[in-house]
Amino acid sequence: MDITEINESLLRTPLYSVHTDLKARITPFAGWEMPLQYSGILNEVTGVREHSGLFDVSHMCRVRILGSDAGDFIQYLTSNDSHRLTNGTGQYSLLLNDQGGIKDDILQFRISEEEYFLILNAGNARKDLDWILSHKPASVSLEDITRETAMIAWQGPDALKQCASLFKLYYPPLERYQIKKLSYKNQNLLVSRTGYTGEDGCEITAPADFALILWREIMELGVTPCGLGARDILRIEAGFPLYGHEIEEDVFPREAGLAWAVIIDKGKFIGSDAIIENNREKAEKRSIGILATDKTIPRQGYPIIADEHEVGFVTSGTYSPTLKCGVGCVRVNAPYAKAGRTVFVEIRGKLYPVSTIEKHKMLSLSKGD
Amino acid sequence: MSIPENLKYTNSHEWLQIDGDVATIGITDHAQAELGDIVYLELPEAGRVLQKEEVFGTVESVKAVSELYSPVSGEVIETNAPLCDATETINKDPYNTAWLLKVRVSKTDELDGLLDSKTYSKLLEE
Repeated sequence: MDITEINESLLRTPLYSVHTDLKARITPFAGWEMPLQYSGILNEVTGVREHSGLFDVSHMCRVRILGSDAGDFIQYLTSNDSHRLTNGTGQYSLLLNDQGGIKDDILQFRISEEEYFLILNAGNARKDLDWILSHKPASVSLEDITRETAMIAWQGPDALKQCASLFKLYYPPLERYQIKKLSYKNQNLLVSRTGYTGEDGCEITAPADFALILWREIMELGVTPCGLGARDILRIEAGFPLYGHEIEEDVFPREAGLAWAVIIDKGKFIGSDAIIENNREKAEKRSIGILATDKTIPRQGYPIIADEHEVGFVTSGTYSPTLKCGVGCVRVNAPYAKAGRTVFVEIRGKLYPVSTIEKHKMLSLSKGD
Repeated sequence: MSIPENLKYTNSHEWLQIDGDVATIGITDHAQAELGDIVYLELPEAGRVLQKEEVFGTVESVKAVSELYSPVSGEVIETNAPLCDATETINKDPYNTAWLLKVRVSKTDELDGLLDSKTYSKLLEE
């Protein structure tokens, strides 16, 4: 086992000292020194599924898009229909390349007619910013507020009630995908009812020098601090895609089950011509969830075998503390991406059966739906 | 970090308890801590003959897969099979209840190359 050496050029979030105080195990991630785990990944996942957890997600890139043409620019830049947004609401969307492949998946919020707020993946931040800058008209400006702010995700069945109580708001403090500017202790916060765990909750952007105070106040409510290890498992259990796993530059949205986030009839946007062209053909690959039927754990890259052929591979896989078995997501030849089949995952040269399941239904198994 | 004095160690973080020509083998406290919550264990069948440094099994935590290497050559005479259904025991008690397998050592001179607790302790400090 190798002890990971931490490169000194890595960035630290405004919450770094809280992670070391809590004796988190620190790991390099997308150019940042991030907490991998605190008390243990199993305990953290359970904390979020049963009560609530908080995550430092300050490494994610936060940018404001400003100007009188901001709305039209966002509509052209991204795949979802941002014209459906009213002030103070947001949506999941995609940045596509000219070939219709996925450059990144993002959250976009309309703060006002002349101000949009985007959240981009940390690992794609430089690439995305260059892409946005190279396409934006002179009338639109971009402000990267990543380093001057912190971002905290507060997730779990208790999170919104706790959030309402801390900020002295009526419950529920927000509708789904709503975003609000909030003044708390003379600090300007941006709070949205979003997250990436499959649980309800919110995400808070706060001034960098207020982050430690806010984190401690939330922890004092009995919220479990959670690292990137738990975050990854929670999103896999929920069937959510992650760049570098389910989605990449050469993966079309419908191959990743994300056609719903591409609104073709809204008019021309980056990648739309290529998507229309691609939609004329049958999709070759599709994405679907898998559940292990014995104790084995699927991991990214393991081959998927059916009818004695390799038909795809695992894009994400883990042990699920919630379902108490191995779970994952696979990209397979389209005919095999049907729920309720048995296919095989090849692990260290042996074949193990797994059953296919629609991704969004994996988590509901634990809730007895 | 616990490093019992009566055991021998490897630099790949296995421990051995030597009793005559039988070596009881497990993974160290450091190894379990590095892995985190262990959720899967695969052990060989009794009777299998292992060469030194051959992969004899796999241990997986929630986030990591780690192969297990035999520190000595010899025949597997017993495995702790019930541990496969109680893998959290490896995190809780790596040196006692969570032993993995017993091997009848065929090349006893291989035992001379093992580390004592002081040397292993120094290895961890580096």
